[in-house]
Amino acid sequence: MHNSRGNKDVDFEINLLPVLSVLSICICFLLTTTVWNRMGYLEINQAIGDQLPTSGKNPDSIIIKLLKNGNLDLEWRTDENSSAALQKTILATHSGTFLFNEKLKIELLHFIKNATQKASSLKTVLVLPEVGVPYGETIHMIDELKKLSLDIGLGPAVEGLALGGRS
Amino acid sequence: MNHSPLLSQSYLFPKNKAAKKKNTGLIITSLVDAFSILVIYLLFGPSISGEAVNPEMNIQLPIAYASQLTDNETTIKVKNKLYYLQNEVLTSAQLGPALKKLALVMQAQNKSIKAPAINLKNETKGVENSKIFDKSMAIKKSKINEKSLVIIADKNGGIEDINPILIAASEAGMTQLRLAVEHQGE
Repeated sequence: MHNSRGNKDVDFEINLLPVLSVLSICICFLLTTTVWNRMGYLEINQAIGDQLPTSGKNPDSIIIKLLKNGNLDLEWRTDENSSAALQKTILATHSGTFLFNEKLKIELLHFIKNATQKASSLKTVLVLPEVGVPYGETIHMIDELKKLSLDIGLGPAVEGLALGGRS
Repeated sequence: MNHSPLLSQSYLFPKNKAAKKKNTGLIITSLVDAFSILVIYLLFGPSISGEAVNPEMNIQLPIAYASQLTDNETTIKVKNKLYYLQNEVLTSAQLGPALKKLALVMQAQNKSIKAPAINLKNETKGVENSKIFDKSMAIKKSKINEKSLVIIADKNGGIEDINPILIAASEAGMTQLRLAVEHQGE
């Protein structure tokens, strides 16, 4: 009899309810404060100003000029000195600012497909934006080009790029 | 008569008197375990899977699908014509010297990363089929993630905001750059 009472005193349980409450509060706090957006990157090369001693003849490339009026100037150059092998200006559907919409995307991808069919070695695309082109739209276009496994070169934004183009 | 232990545990129809009197509490130990695991994941998970942009900077990254995840890279943030190279605030005039210093550090880091690939070539001198060897070397080299500068800029800003970085990086001999995006790929 005495023995069984003694066992009852020893057999105790830790109250886990406060622990559960604390953990619940911790989870709620962490869920609301955690940043879920993960940062990634798009790898690009410098389009101009290569100071490497190994730099020789430029490879065949497509030059894409992003104009602030919304147009896209495309040129496929096989040689620096010769005229463009293929040239096209994609007109914007609306004026005001550059917006890489579905129409520009389809026409740009069609142009690149045409050029790469004629020259399979063509893997380089140079992106030359004009001052005033939104950064987000430029990245949107580079993202689409990256899906084609092309090497992207980005040049610094310049003023008056449209004057040199055919728009 | 002996009753099965399972039936004696029943709340609705317990088969013995002792079980009726028994006060069975809710077992919350497993729940505490699950909650603990959840807390540990929330504390360390996001920092492991990818770097997050400092929310205080209020920079909205552009969304991209063909991107790769960053892995503790050197970042430069652009906000209000000021450049934040890690924790140092720079003007466009100070960018050139700062990036030249950084380029030297990165070159040294990239050399140390490339070292195992060079040793591998020495170890496999006996390989007769050079084509297979070249192919495996190319795969090994492509897996090596070289350190590079990641540019963090707001998607609503102009492309000219990153002009000073492109020019300074070009002068410093950085031919490859990385543009930070909000990763939407797998």
